[in-house]
Amino acid sequence: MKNLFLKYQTALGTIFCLWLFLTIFKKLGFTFGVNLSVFFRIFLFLFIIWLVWITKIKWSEINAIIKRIWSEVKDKFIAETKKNQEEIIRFSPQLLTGKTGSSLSFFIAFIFSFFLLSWQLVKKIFKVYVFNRITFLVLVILGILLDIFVLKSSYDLVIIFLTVLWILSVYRYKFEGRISVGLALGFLILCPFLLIFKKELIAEKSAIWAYLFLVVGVVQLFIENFKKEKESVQKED
Amino acid sequence: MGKYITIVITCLIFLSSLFFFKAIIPALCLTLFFIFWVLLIEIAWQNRQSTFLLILTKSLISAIFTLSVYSLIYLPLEYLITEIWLVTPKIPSIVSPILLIILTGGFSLVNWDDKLKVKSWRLFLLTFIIISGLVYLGYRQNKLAREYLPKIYNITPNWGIQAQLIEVRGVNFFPIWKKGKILFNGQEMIIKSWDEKVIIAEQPVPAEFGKTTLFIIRSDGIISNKIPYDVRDPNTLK
Repeated sequence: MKNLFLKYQTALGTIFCLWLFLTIFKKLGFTFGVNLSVFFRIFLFLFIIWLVWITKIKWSEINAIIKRIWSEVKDKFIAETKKNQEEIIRFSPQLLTGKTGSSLSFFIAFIFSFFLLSWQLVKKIFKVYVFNRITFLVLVILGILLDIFVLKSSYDLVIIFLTVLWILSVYRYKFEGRISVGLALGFLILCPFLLIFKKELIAEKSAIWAYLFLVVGVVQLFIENFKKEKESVQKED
Repeated sequence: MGKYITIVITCLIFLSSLFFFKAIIPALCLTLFFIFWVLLIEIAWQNRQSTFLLILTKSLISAIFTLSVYSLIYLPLEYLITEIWLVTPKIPSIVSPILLIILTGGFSLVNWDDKLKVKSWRLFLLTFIIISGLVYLGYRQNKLAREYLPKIYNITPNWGIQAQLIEVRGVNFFPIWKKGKILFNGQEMIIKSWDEKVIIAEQPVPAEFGKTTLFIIRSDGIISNKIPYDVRDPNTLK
């Protein structure tokens, strides 16, 4: 069964590679008479089968994780609600005494804890999964590729937003200036080939990104040189 | 590839592309493109033992081989069905993805690592890919050339007597304001309705009876394929 799953997984990866090939070829003007939308829908269907299959295989592990998370959240929620209820009662001891007052304070604490924990959860998800190092970089790269190859027209705001994201990732990853310059050269090389294949819009966007990466790269190189000069002066002193 | 060999080949590519294009920018671009690929291949070669790269290579080879087989078998068949035999204007869009997925599933099971170690297999693969590429280019050229030609797929009925209405089905007949002619036996049919894909025409009194061919002359003068048509004598129908 496991062997069959591995074979299925390999086939699925190959189907994805093929879809990628066909999409790139189509962008370059070479169609193979394949409806890519239908092809992708079939791939998605097979991918869902893979997801169900892998869930079934790893169900014991997934179940254990769900149980652990559930018990952690439950304990935290109960503790938080109790703490909040105590705080609420402490805030207004005369009004929230007795059976009705206790129920009311519990209800308010429950609602408050629910929103507080939800907010904390969203914050944690964003911090761990969305704004972590790899996802951030992948988002920037995907954004730029989407802007060049998928969007049908040029949007200034999108370009500015993605440029700022790239600058932030340069700052965060401590990328050297030559990486930006290298990317600029890459996009510049792409331009004439796209023009040969009559993809003017993509070539134009590629040229825009080449220019932007060049600007960022030159500024980075300038700052790097400035820092080096400063360090050498300090050493000499 | 060694450093010096790369430099020599780069220079050769630059010079030959300069000679070929007679312009410096395309020559430079081609040279840069070559350097970019050499770098990429070198990085891939250095990390050739990594699991990710091995799986990726296997998937890529399977995908390329699938596409080659598809180009060599399905595309010529599709061309024959839609352009030469004129069985149908278009094969259902589900057929090609399903075929591709079945082929991919089959070829992904092949152990390409073992196959690529054998020199004859490598040569076979390379030859196969080149041949299928050439077949694809031929298919593309012919398909594009025939894409906008008028084509008749069928006529109902395929026989007629005077004043009978004939329905001609096909593609690229041009709209009503660019009406053409339907001819048989050198005679012109009376057009009742003209559309991009369907024409309804009335058969005039024929000059002679018997088997002949029917075809369309579009308003720009381009002639469609010829379909067998039987001009019958009304007396024989009694």
